[in-house]
Amino acid sequence: MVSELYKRELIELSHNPYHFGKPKKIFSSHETFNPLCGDKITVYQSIDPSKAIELWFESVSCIICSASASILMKHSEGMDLNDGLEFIKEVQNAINDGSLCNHKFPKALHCLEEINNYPSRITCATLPWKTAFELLK
Amino acid sequence: MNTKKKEVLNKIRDEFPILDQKINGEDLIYLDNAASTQKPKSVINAIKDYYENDHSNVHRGVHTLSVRATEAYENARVKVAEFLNSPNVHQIIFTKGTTDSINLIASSVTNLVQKDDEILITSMEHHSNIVPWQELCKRTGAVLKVIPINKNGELLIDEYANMISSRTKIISIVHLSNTLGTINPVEDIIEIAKSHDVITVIDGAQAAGHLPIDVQKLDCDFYLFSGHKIFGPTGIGVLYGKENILNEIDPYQFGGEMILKVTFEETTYNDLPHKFEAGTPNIAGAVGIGASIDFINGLDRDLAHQHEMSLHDYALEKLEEIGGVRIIGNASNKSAIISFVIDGLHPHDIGTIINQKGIAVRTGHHCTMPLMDFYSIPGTVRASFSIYNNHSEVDKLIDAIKLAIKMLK
Repeated sequence: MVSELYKRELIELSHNPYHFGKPKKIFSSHETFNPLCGDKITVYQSIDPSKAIELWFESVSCIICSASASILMKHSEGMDLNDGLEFIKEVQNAINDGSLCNHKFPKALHCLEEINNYPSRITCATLPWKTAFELLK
Repeated sequence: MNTKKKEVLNKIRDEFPILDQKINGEDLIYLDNAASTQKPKSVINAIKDYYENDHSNVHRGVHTLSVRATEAYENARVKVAEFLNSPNVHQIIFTKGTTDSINLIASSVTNLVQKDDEILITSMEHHSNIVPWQELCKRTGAVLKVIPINKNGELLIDEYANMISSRTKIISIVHLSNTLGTINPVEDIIEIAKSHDVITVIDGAQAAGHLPIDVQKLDCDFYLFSGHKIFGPTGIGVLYGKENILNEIDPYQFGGEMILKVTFEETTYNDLPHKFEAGTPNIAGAVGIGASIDFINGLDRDLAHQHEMSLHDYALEKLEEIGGVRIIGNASNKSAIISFVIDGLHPHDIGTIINQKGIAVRTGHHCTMPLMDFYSIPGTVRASFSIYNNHSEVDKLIDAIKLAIKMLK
Protein backbone atom coordinates (compact mmCIF):
# COMPACT_ATOMS: atom_id res chain seq x y z
CA MET A 1 0.00 0.00 0.00
CA VAL A 2 1.18 3.46 -0.84
CA SER A 3 0.35 4.61 2.70
CA GLU A 4 3.23 2.37 3.87
CA LEU A 5 5.57 4.29 1.60
CA TYR A 6 4.28 7.67 2.73
CA LYS A 7 4.52 7.05 6.46
CA ARG A 8 3.58 10.02 8.63
CA GLU A 9 7.12 10.03 10.02
CA LEU A 10 8.54 10.40 6.50
CA ILE A 11 6.14 13.20 5.62
CA GLU A 12 6.95 15.05 8.85
CA LEU A 13 10.67 14.74 8.14
CA SER A 14 10.18 16.24 4.68
CA HIS A 15 8.21 19.15 6.12
CA ASN A 16 10.92 20.02 8.66
CA PRO A 17 14.15 18.55 7.38
CA TYR A 18 17.28 18.65 9.52
CA HIS A 19 20.01 21.07 8.40
CA PHE A 20 17.93 22.40 5.50
CA GLY A 21 19.40 25.59 4.04
CA LYS A 22 22.77 27.06 3.29
CA PRO A 23 25.14 27.00 6.30
CA LYS A 24 26.78 30.25 7.42
CA LYS A 25 30.19 28.91 6.45
CA ILE A 26 30.65 26.66 3.44
CA PHE A 27 33.77 24.54 3.14
CA SER A 28 32.61 22.79 -0.04
CA SER A 29 29.43 21.96 -1.91
CA HIS A 30 28.12 19.69 -4.64
CA GLU A 31 24.97 19.94 -6.74
CA THR A 32 23.18 17.05 -8.43
CA PHE A 33 20.13 16.78 -10.66
CA ASN A 34 17.77 13.87 -10.90
CA PRO A 35 17.40 13.55 -14.67
CA LEU A 36 14.20 11.54 -14.24
CA CYS A 37 12.24 14.34 -12.64
CA GLY A 38 14.41 17.48 -12.75
CA ASP A 39 14.86 17.62 -8.97
CA LYS A 40 17.92 19.45 -7.73
CA ILE A 41 19.85 19.07 -4.50
CA THR A 42 22.90 20.91 -3.24
CA VAL A 43 24.78 19.38 -0.32
CA TYR A 44 27.14 21.62 1.69
CA GLN A 45 29.98 20.63 4.01
CA SER A 46 30.27 23.47 6.50
CA ILE A 47 33.64 22.62 8.09
CA ASP A 48 36.89 20.97 7.08
CA PRO A 49 35.85 17.32 6.52
CA SER A 50 39.15 16.07 7.89
CA LYS A 51 37.83 17.25 11.28
CA ALA A 52 34.30 15.87 11.03
CA ILE A 53 31.33 15.62 8.71
CA GLU A 54 28.74 18.38 9.00
CA LEU A 55 26.35 18.46 6.09
CA TRP A 56 23.55 20.84 5.11
CA PHE A 57 21.35 20.80 2.06
CA GLU A 58 19.09 22.81 -0.19
CA SER A 59 16.75 21.11 -2.62
CA VAL A 60 13.76 21.31 -4.85
CA SER A 61 12.61 17.78 -4.31
CA CYS A 62 9.89 15.32 -3.41
CA ILE A 63 8.96 14.01 0.03
CA ILE A 64 11.14 10.91 -0.35
CA CYS A 65 14.23 12.89 -1.34
CA SER A 66 13.79 15.58 1.33
CA ALA A 67 13.21 13.05 4.11
CA SER A 68 16.13 10.92 2.95
CA ALA A 69 18.37 14.01 2.91
CA SER A 70 17.23 14.95 6.40
CA ILE A 71 18.20 11.51 7.74
CA LEU A 72 21.57 11.77 6.02
CA MET A 73 22.29 15.22 7.48
CA LYS A 74 21.43 14.12 11.00
CA HIS A 75 23.06 10.70 11.12
CA SER A 76 26.32 11.58 9.38
CA GLU A 77 26.90 14.58 11.62
CA GLY A 78 30.16 14.36 13.56
CA MET A 79 31.39 11.26 11.75
CA ASP A 80 34.99 10.83 10.82
CA LEU A 81 35.43 11.29 7.02
CA ASN A 82 36.29 7.67 6.22
CA ASP A 83 33.55 6.27 8.45
CA GLY A 84 31.12 8.77 6.95
CA LEU A 85 31.96 7.78 3.39
CA GLU A 86 31.56 4.12 4.25
CA PHE A 87 28.24 4.81 5.98
CA ILE A 88 26.97 6.78 2.98
CA LYS A 89 28.00 4.06 0.54
CA GLU A 90 26.44 1.31 2.66
CA VAL A 91 23.14 3.16 2.96
CA GLN A 92 23.05 3.82 -0.78
CA ASN A 93 23.53 0.10 -1.42
CA ALA A 94 20.93 -0.80 1.21
CA ILE A 95 18.35 1.52 -0.38
CA ASN A 96 19.02 -0.13 -3.73
CA ASP A 97 18.81 -3.71 -2.49
CA GLY A 98 16.07 -3.24 0.10
CA SER A 99 18.11 -4.02 3.23
CA LEU A 100 17.61 -0.77 5.13
CA CYS A 101 16.15 -2.55 8.15
CA ASN A 102 19.56 -4.01 8.95
CA HIS A 103 20.32 -3.39 12.62
CA LYS A 104 23.56 -1.57 11.79
CA PHE A 105 21.66 1.38 10.34
CA PRO A 106 19.92 4.08 12.39
CA LYS A 107 16.26 3.34 13.04
CA ALA A 108 15.31 6.55 11.28
CA LEU A 109 16.20 4.91 7.97
CA HIS A 110 13.53 2.26 8.47
CA CYS A 111 10.90 4.72 7.29
CA LEU A 112 12.44 4.43 3.81
CA GLU A 113 12.24 0.63 3.70
CA GLU A 114 9.16 0.54 1.43
CA ILE A 115 10.98 2.41 -1.33
CA ASN A 116 12.31 -0.84 -2.70
CA ASN A 117 8.76 -1.73 -3.78
CA TYR A 118 8.70 1.42 -5.93
CA PRO A 119 11.63 1.02 -8.34
CA SER A 120 10.91 4.32 -10.11
CA ARG A 121 11.35 6.16 -6.79
CA ILE A 122 14.62 4.63 -5.59
CA THR A 123 16.62 7.43 -7.23
CA CYS A 124 14.64 9.95 -5.15
CA ALA A 125 15.91 8.30 -1.96
CA THR A 126 19.51 7.80 -3.10
CA LEU A 127 20.02 11.27 -4.62
CA PRO A 128 21.15 13.01 -1.38
CA TRP A 129 23.50 10.14 -0.50
CA LYS A 130 24.98 10.07 -3.97
CA THR A 131 25.50 13.84 -3.84
CA ALA A 132 27.13 13.69 -0.40
CA PHE A 133 29.45 10.92 -1.50
CA GLU A 134 30.54 12.94 -4.54
CA LEU A 135 31.13 15.93 -2.26
CA LEU A 136 33.18 14.12 0.36
CA LYS A 137 35.09 11.48 -1.60
CA MET B 1 -23.68 13.04 -24.84
CA ASN B 2 -26.26 11.22 -26.92
CA THR B 3 -26.59 7.44 -26.83
CA LYS B 4 -25.27 6.91 -30.35
CA LYS B 5 -22.06 8.83 -29.65
CA LYS B 6 -21.63 6.95 -26.39
CA GLU B 7 -22.00 3.64 -28.23
CA VAL B 8 -19.42 4.68 -30.81
CA LEU B 9 -16.96 5.71 -28.09
CA ASN B 10 -17.51 2.53 -26.09
CA LYS B 11 -16.91 0.47 -29.23
CA ILE B 12 -13.65 2.33 -29.84
CA ARG B 13 -12.56 1.74 -26.25
CA ASP B 14 -13.22 -1.99 -26.67
CA GLU B 15 -10.59 -2.00 -29.40
CA PHE B 16 -7.87 -1.43 -26.78
CA PRO B 17 -7.32 -4.69 -24.87
CA ILE B 18 -4.72 -3.22 -22.49
CA LEU B 19 -7.36 -0.99 -20.89
CA ASP B 20 -9.24 -4.01 -19.59
CA GLN B 21 -7.04 -4.70 -16.57
CA LYS B 22 -6.58 -3.86 -12.91
CA ILE B 23 -3.63 -1.90 -11.57
CA ASN B 24 -3.22 -2.16 -7.80
CA GLY B 25 -6.67 -3.73 -7.68
CA GLU B 26 -8.34 -0.80 -9.46
CA ASP B 27 -9.48 -0.36 -13.07
CA LEU B 28 -6.64 1.04 -15.15
CA ILE B 29 -7.20 4.68 -16.06
CA TYR B 30 -4.64 5.59 -18.67
CA LEU B 31 -4.08 9.36 -18.87
CA ASP B 32 -0.51 9.33 -20.15
CA ASN B 33 -1.40 9.53 -23.81
CA ALA B 34 0.95 12.39 -24.59
CA ALA B 35 3.83 10.09 -23.65
CA SER B 36 2.48 7.17 -25.66
CA THR B 37 -0.95 6.05 -26.76
CA GLN B 38 -2.22 2.52 -26.32
CA LYS B 39 -2.63 0.20 -29.31
CA PRO B 40 -5.87 -1.02 -30.86
CA LYS B 41 -6.31 -4.70 -31.77
CA SER B 42 -5.98 -3.85 -35.46
CA VAL B 43 -2.42 -2.54 -34.96
CA ILE B 44 -1.42 -5.43 -32.70
CA ASN B 45 -2.87 -7.94 -35.19
CA ALA B 46 -1.22 -6.28 -38.19
CA ILE B 47 2.21 -6.66 -36.57
CA LYS B 48 1.42 -10.22 -35.48
CA ASP B 49 0.13 -11.15 -38.95
CA TYR B 50 3.19 -9.65 -40.57
CA TYR B 51 5.55 -11.75 -38.44
CA GLU B 52 3.39 -14.88 -38.74
CA ASN B 53 2.95 -14.73 -42.51
CA ASP B 54 5.04 -12.22 -44.42
CA HIS B 55 8.32 -11.47 -42.71
CA SER B 56 11.58 -11.36 -44.61
CA ASN B 57 14.05 -8.60 -45.42
CA VAL B 58 12.79 -5.92 -47.78
CA HIS B 59 13.99 -4.86 -51.24
CA ARG B 60 16.30 -6.81 -53.55
CA GLY B 61 14.90 -10.23 -52.60
CA VAL B 62 13.34 -12.28 -55.41
CA HIS B 63 11.53 -14.78 -53.22
CA THR B 64 7.87 -14.48 -52.31
CA LEU B 65 8.30 -13.50 -48.67
CA SER B 66 10.71 -10.70 -49.54
CA VAL B 67 8.25 -9.42 -52.12
CA ARG B 68 5.43 -9.52 -49.57
CA ALA B 69 7.52 -7.80 -46.91
CA THR B 70 8.56 -5.13 -49.40
CA GLU B 71 4.95 -4.56 -50.40
CA ALA B 72 3.87 -4.30 -46.77
CA TYR B 73 6.66 -1.83 -46.01
CA GLU B 74 6.09 0.33 -49.07
CA ASN B 75 2.29 0.23 -48.69
CA ALA B 76 2.78 1.71 -45.23
CA ARG B 77 4.77 4.52 -46.82
CA VAL B 78 1.88 5.18 -49.20
CA LYS B 79 -0.53 5.37 -46.25
CA VAL B 80 1.74 7.86 -44.45
CA ALA B 81 2.06 9.97 -47.61
CA GLU B 82 -1.73 10.12 -47.91
CA PHE B 83 -2.09 10.83 -44.18
CA LEU B 84 0.12 13.91 -44.52
CA ASN B 85 -1.01 14.77 -48.07
CA SER B 86 2.58 14.54 -49.24
CA PRO B 87 2.86 15.29 -52.98
CA ASN B 88 5.02 12.17 -53.46
CA VAL B 89 5.43 8.91 -51.60
CA HIS B 90 9.24 9.10 -51.84
CA GLN B 91 9.20 12.23 -49.68
CA ILE B 92 8.31 10.03 -46.71
CA ILE B 93 11.33 8.69 -44.82
CA PHE B 94 10.90 6.11 -42.09
CA THR B 95 12.95 6.81 -38.97
CA LYS B 96 13.02 5.51 -35.39
CA GLY B 97 10.77 8.32 -34.19
CA THR B 98 10.49 12.08 -33.96
CA THR B 99 13.78 12.42 -32.10
CA ASP B 100 15.54 10.43 -34.79
CA SER B 101 13.87 12.55 -37.49
CA ILE B 102 15.12 15.78 -35.91
CA ASN B 103 18.60 14.32 -35.50
CA LEU B 104 18.55 13.31 -39.15
CA ILE B 105 17.75 16.85 -40.25
CA ALA B 106 20.13 18.56 -37.82
CA SER B 107 22.92 16.26 -38.96
CA SER B 108 22.16 16.32 -42.67
CA VAL B 109 21.80 20.10 -43.03
CA THR B 110 25.33 20.66 -41.69
CA ASN B 111 26.54 21.45 -45.21
CA LEU B 112 23.92 24.22 -45.50
CA VAL B 113 24.75 25.99 -42.24
CA GLN B 114 27.62 28.41 -41.72
CA LYS B 115 29.20 30.27 -38.83
CA ASP B 116 26.92 32.99 -37.39
CA ASP B 117 23.83 31.61 -39.10
CA GLU B 118 20.93 31.49 -36.69
CA ILE B 119 18.68 28.57 -35.76
CA LEU B 120 15.36 29.48 -34.14
CA ILE B 121 13.46 27.30 -31.72
CA THR B 122 10.91 28.19 -29.04
CA SER B 123 10.84 28.16 -25.23
CA MET B 124 8.40 25.26 -25.20
CA GLU B 125 10.47 22.74 -27.14
CA HIS B 126 11.04 19.15 -26.08
CA HIS B 127 14.73 18.36 -25.44
CA SER B 128 14.70 16.47 -28.73
CA ASN B 129 14.10 19.76 -30.52
CA ILE B 130 16.82 21.57 -28.57
CA VAL B 131 19.83 19.30 -28.19
CA PRO B 132 20.30 18.29 -31.88
CA TRP B 133 20.35 22.01 -32.81
CA GLN B 134 22.82 22.80 -30.03
CA GLU B 135 25.06 20.13 -31.50
CA LEU B 136 24.64 21.59 -35.00
CA CYS B 137 25.63 24.99 -33.62
CA LYS B 138 28.73 23.46 -31.99
CA ARG B 139 29.76 21.90 -35.30
CA THR B 140 29.14 24.94 -37.46
CA GLY B 141 29.45 28.03 -35.26
CA ALA B 142 25.80 28.85 -35.84
CA VAL B 143 23.81 30.50 -33.04
CA LEU B 144 20.71 29.04 -31.35
CA LYS B 145 18.01 31.59 -30.59
CA VAL B 146 14.88 31.00 -28.56
CA ILE B 147 11.50 32.59 -29.31
CA PRO B 148 9.87 33.52 -25.99
CA ILE B 149 6.39 32.66 -24.73
CA ASN B 150 4.00 34.37 -22.33
CA LYS B 151 2.83 32.88 -19.01
CA ASN B 152 -0.21 31.35 -20.71
CA GLY B 153 2.21 29.29 -22.75
CA GLU B 154 1.59 31.10 -26.02
CA LEU B 155 4.31 31.97 -28.46
CA LEU B 156 5.11 35.67 -28.84
CA ILE B 157 4.65 35.95 -32.57
CA ASP B 158 5.68 39.62 -32.71
CA GLU B 159 8.96 38.74 -30.99
CA TYR B 160 9.45 35.97 -33.52
CA ALA B 161 8.82 38.35 -36.42
CA ASN B 162 11.46 40.68 -34.95
CA MET B 163 13.98 37.88 -34.36
CA ILE B 164 13.90 36.44 -37.86
CA SER B 165 16.46 37.99 -40.21
CA SER B 166 18.73 37.33 -43.14
CA ARG B 167 20.97 35.38 -40.72
CA THR B 168 18.18 32.93 -39.82
CA LYS B 169 18.74 29.61 -41.54
CA ILE B 170 16.31 27.23 -39.85
CA ILE B 171 13.29 27.44 -37.59
CA SER B 172 12.31 24.25 -35.79
CA ILE B 173 9.12 24.45 -33.80
CA VAL B 174 6.70 22.17 -32.03
CA HIS B 175 3.20 22.05 -33.54
CA LEU B 176 1.51 21.00 -30.28
CA SER B 177 3.38 21.33 -26.99
CA ASN B 178 3.66 18.04 -25.08
CA THR B 179 3.79 19.89 -21.75
CA LEU B 180 1.42 22.82 -22.19
CA GLY B 181 -0.98 21.50 -24.80
CA THR B 182 -0.53 24.73 -26.74
CA ILE B 183 -1.29 24.47 -30.45
CA ASN B 184 1.12 26.84 -32.15
CA PRO B 185 0.01 28.89 -35.17
CA VAL B 186 2.39 27.03 -37.45
CA GLU B 187 0.74 28.34 -40.63
CA ASP B 188 1.63 31.95 -39.68
CA ILE B 189 5.07 30.93 -38.44
CA ILE B 190 5.87 29.13 -41.70
CA GLU B 191 4.56 32.02 -43.79
CA ILE B 192 6.87 34.49 -42.02
CA ALA B 193 9.79 32.06 -42.30
CA LYS B 194 9.18 31.53 -46.02
CA SER B 195 9.34 35.27 -46.67
CA HIS B 196 12.94 35.09 -45.33
CA ASP B 197 13.87 31.83 -47.13
CA VAL B 198 14.20 30.05 -43.81
CA ILE B 199 14.02 26.23 -43.66
CA THR B 200 10.99 25.20 -41.60
CA VAL B 201 10.91 22.09 -39.43
CA ILE B 202 7.67 21.16 -37.65
CA ASP B 203 7.77 18.70 -34.75
CA GLY B 204 4.40 17.02 -35.08
CA ALA B 205 4.93 14.33 -32.42
CA GLN B 206 1.86 15.39 -30.44
CA ALA B 207 -0.10 16.95 -33.29
CA ALA B 208 -0.23 14.10 -35.79
CA GLY B 209 -2.64 12.02 -33.72
CA HIS B 210 -4.96 14.90 -32.89
CA LEU B 211 -4.96 17.38 -35.77
CA PRO B 212 -5.42 16.82 -39.50
CA ILE B 213 -2.05 17.48 -41.15
CA ASP B 214 -1.65 18.74 -44.71
CA VAL B 215 2.02 19.36 -45.45
CA GLN B 216 1.26 20.96 -48.81
CA LYS B 217 -1.12 23.44 -47.22
CA LEU B 218 1.34 24.11 -44.41
CA ASP B 219 4.15 24.49 -46.96
CA CYS B 220 6.71 23.41 -44.35
CA ASP B 221 10.03 21.96 -45.44
CA PHE B 222 9.96 19.13 -42.90
CA TYR B 223 7.20 17.56 -40.81
CA LEU B 224 7.98 14.83 -38.26
CA PHE B 225 6.09 12.46 -36.01
CA SER B 226 6.29 9.14 -34.16
CA GLY B 227 4.23 5.99 -34.59
CA HIS B 228 3.68 5.31 -30.91
CA LYS B 229 1.83 8.57 -30.27
CA ILE B 230 -0.74 7.83 -32.99
CA PHE B 231 -1.76 4.36 -31.73
CA GLY B 232 1.13 2.71 -33.57
CA PRO B 233 4.21 0.88 -32.35
CA THR B 234 7.35 2.31 -30.76
CA GLY B 235 10.59 2.51 -32.72
CA ILE B 236 9.06 3.84 -35.92
CA GLY B 237 8.71 7.46 -36.97
CA VAL B 238 8.28 9.61 -40.01
CA LEU B 239 10.13 12.41 -41.64
CA TYR B 240 8.36 14.22 -44.46
CA GLY B 241 10.62 16.55 -46.44
CA LYS B 242 10.35 18.73 -49.50
CA GLU B 243 11.99 16.97 -52.41
CA ASN B 244 14.49 19.70 -53.31
CA ILE B 245 15.86 19.88 -49.76
CA LEU B 246 15.95 16.12 -49.31
CA ASN B 247 17.99 15.94 -52.51
CA GLU B 248 20.25 18.78 -51.40
CA ILE B 249 21.18 17.56 -47.92
CA ASP B 250 23.59 14.75 -47.05
CA PRO B 251 22.55 11.26 -45.96
CA TYR B 252 22.33 10.74 -42.22
CA GLN B 253 23.71 7.23 -41.94
CA PHE B 254 25.64 5.11 -44.38
CA GLY B 255 25.63 1.46 -45.39
CA GLY B 256 23.26 -0.91 -47.14
CA GLU B 257 19.97 0.22 -48.73
CA MET B 258 21.07 3.85 -49.11
CA ILE B 259 23.43 3.24 -52.04
CA LEU B 260 23.10 2.87 -55.81
CA LYS B 261 26.66 1.74 -56.45
CA VAL B 262 29.64 1.03 -54.25
CA THR B 263 33.28 0.55 -55.21
CA PHE B 264 36.28 0.80 -52.90
CA GLU B 265 36.99 4.18 -54.46
CA GLU B 266 33.56 5.81 -54.21
CA THR B 267 29.86 5.41 -53.49
CA THR B 268 26.82 6.74 -55.27
CA TYR B 269 23.86 7.35 -52.99
CA ASN B 270 20.41 5.92 -53.67
CA ASP B 271 17.37 7.95 -54.63
CA LEU B 272 14.73 9.12 -52.20
CA PRO B 273 13.55 7.82 -49.83
CA HIS B 274 16.25 5.11 -49.58
CA LYS B 275 19.08 7.66 -49.39
CA PHE B 276 18.01 8.25 -45.78
CA GLU B 277 17.18 4.67 -44.79
CA ALA B 278 20.51 2.89 -44.27
CA GLY B 279 20.34 -0.71 -43.07
CA THR B 280 17.40 -3.05 -42.63
CA PRO B 281 14.47 -0.87 -41.64
CA ASN B 282 11.84 -1.44 -38.96
CA ILE B 283 9.49 -3.30 -41.31
CA ALA B 284 7.04 -4.47 -38.65
CA GLY B 285 7.03 -0.93 -37.25
CA ALA B 286 6.08 0.43 -40.67
CA VAL B 287 3.30 -2.16 -40.96
CA GLY B 288 2.14 -1.06 -37.50
CA ILE B 289 2.15 2.64 -38.34
CA GLY B 290 0.22 1.85 -41.52
CA ALA B 291 -2.39 0.03 -39.44
CA SER B 292 -2.52 2.92 -36.95
CA ILE B 293 -3.23 5.33 -39.80
CA ASP B 294 -6.03 3.02 -40.98
CA PHE B 295 -7.38 3.11 -37.44
CA ILE B 296 -7.30 6.93 -37.30
CA ASN B 297 -8.85 7.18 -40.76
CA GLY B 298 -11.66 4.96 -39.50
CA LEU B 299 -12.44 7.37 -36.66
CA ASP B 300 -14.86 10.27 -36.87
CA ARG B 301 -12.10 12.78 -36.22
CA ASP B 302 -14.51 15.59 -35.35
CA LEU B 303 -16.12 13.34 -32.75
CA ALA B 304 -12.68 12.34 -31.44
CA HIS B 305 -11.64 15.98 -31.10
CA GLN B 306 -14.92 17.02 -29.45
CA HIS B 307 -14.72 14.11 -27.02
CA GLU B 308 -11.10 14.74 -26.03
CA MET B 309 -11.74 18.46 -25.54
CA SER B 310 -14.87 17.70 -23.53
CA LEU B 311 -12.72 15.57 -21.19
CA HIS B 312 -10.13 18.35 -21.06
CA ASP B 313 -12.69 21.04 -20.22
CA TYR B 314 -14.38 18.87 -17.61
CA ALA B 315 -11.08 17.95 -15.93
CA LEU B 316 -9.93 21.56 -16.00
CA GLU B 317 -13.13 22.75 -14.34
CA LYS B 318 -12.84 20.08 -11.61
CA LEU B 319 -9.13 20.71 -11.03
CA GLU B 320 -9.65 24.44 -10.67
CA GLU B 321 -12.12 23.74 -7.86
CA ILE B 322 -9.33 22.10 -5.82
CA GLY B 323 -7.50 24.57 -3.58
CA GLY B 324 -3.81 25.06 -4.39
CA VAL B 325 -3.97 23.71 -7.94
CA ARG B 326 -2.22 25.85 -10.54
CA ILE B 327 -2.64 25.05 -14.22
CA ILE B 328 0.54 25.33 -16.30
CA GLY B 329 -0.45 26.27 -19.84
CA ASN B 330 -3.58 28.27 -20.51
CA ALA B 331 -3.22 28.97 -24.22
CA SER B 332 -6.36 30.01 -26.06
CA ASN B 333 -5.74 27.28 -28.63
CA LYS B 334 -5.09 24.04 -26.78
CA SER B 335 -5.26 20.32 -27.14
CA ALA B 336 -6.42 17.78 -24.55
CA ILE B 337 -3.35 18.02 -22.32
CA ILE B 338 -3.47 19.48 -18.80
CA SER B 339 -0.31 20.19 -16.82
CA PHE B 340 -0.69 21.31 -13.24
CA VAL B 341 1.09 21.75 -9.94
CA ILE B 342 -0.29 21.71 -6.41
CA ASP B 343 1.09 24.11 -3.80
CA GLY B 344 3.51 22.36 -1.45
CA LEU B 345 3.32 19.00 -3.18
CA HIS B 346 5.79 17.41 -5.54
CA PRO B 347 4.45 15.94 -8.82
CA HIS B 348 6.22 12.60 -8.24
CA ASP B 349 4.52 12.14 -4.88
CA ILE B 350 1.13 12.87 -6.39
CA GLY B 351 1.84 10.51 -9.31
CA THR B 352 2.87 7.69 -6.97
CA ILE B 353 -0.26 8.02 -4.85
CA ILE B 354 -2.73 8.22 -7.70
CA ASN B 355 -1.05 5.21 -9.33
CA GLN B 356 -2.30 3.31 -6.28
CA LYS B 357 -5.78 4.06 -7.63
CA GLY B 358 -4.85 2.62 -11.02
CA ILE B 359 -4.35 6.02 -12.61
CA ALA B 360 -1.42 6.59 -14.98
CA VAL B 361 -0.34 10.19 -15.41
CA ARG B 362 3.10 11.54 -16.27
CA THR B 363 4.99 13.53 -13.67
CA GLY B 364 8.22 15.48 -13.98
CA HIS B 365 9.72 17.86 -16.49
CA HIS B 366 8.36 16.07 -19.58
CA CYS B 367 11.72 16.57 -21.32
CA THR B 368 11.13 20.33 -21.28
CA MET B 369 13.53 21.46 -18.55
CA PRO B 370 13.95 25.03 -19.92
CA LEU B 371 10.16 25.39 -19.87
CA MET B 372 10.10 24.26 -16.23
CA ASP B 373 12.74 26.91 -15.48
CA PHE B 374 10.51 29.51 -17.18
CA TYR B 375 7.68 28.62 -14.78
CA SER B 376 10.13 28.18 -11.82
CA ILE B 377 8.88 24.68 -11.09
CA PRO B 378 10.70 21.32 -11.03
CA GLY B 379 7.93 19.55 -12.90
CA THR B 380 4.21 19.12 -13.32
CA VAL B 381 1.56 16.45 -13.17
CA ARG B 382 0.27 15.95 -16.69
CA ALA B 383 -3.01 14.31 -17.62
CA SER B 384 -3.40 13.79 -21.36
CA PHE B 385 -6.57 12.43 -22.89
CA SER B 386 -7.34 10.17 -25.81
CA ILE B 387 -10.40 8.92 -27.61
CA TYR B 388 -10.78 5.92 -25.27
CA ASN B 389 -10.96 7.93 -22.02
CA ASN B 390 -14.24 8.90 -20.42
CA HIS B 391 -15.76 11.34 -17.94
CA SER B 392 -16.00 8.82 -15.12
CA GLU B 393 -12.21 8.41 -15.36
CA VAL B 394 -11.84 12.16 -14.87
CA ASP B 395 -14.00 11.92 -11.73
CA LYS B 396 -11.72 9.18 -10.39
CA LEU B 397 -8.64 11.27 -11.21
CA ILE B 398 -10.06 14.19 -9.23
CA ASP B 399 -10.91 11.95 -6.26
CA ALA B 400 -7.40 10.46 -6.32
CA ILE B 401 -5.79 13.91 -6.38
CA LYS B 402 -7.90 14.97 -3.39
CA LEU B 403 -6.76 11.81 -1.60
CA ALA B 404 -3.10 12.59 -2.41
CA ILE B 405 -3.47 16.11 -0.99
CA LYS B 406 -5.07 14.71 2.16
CA MET B 407 -2.33 12.12 2.61
CA LEU B 408 0.64 14.35 1.95
CA LYS B 409 -0.17 17.63 3.64
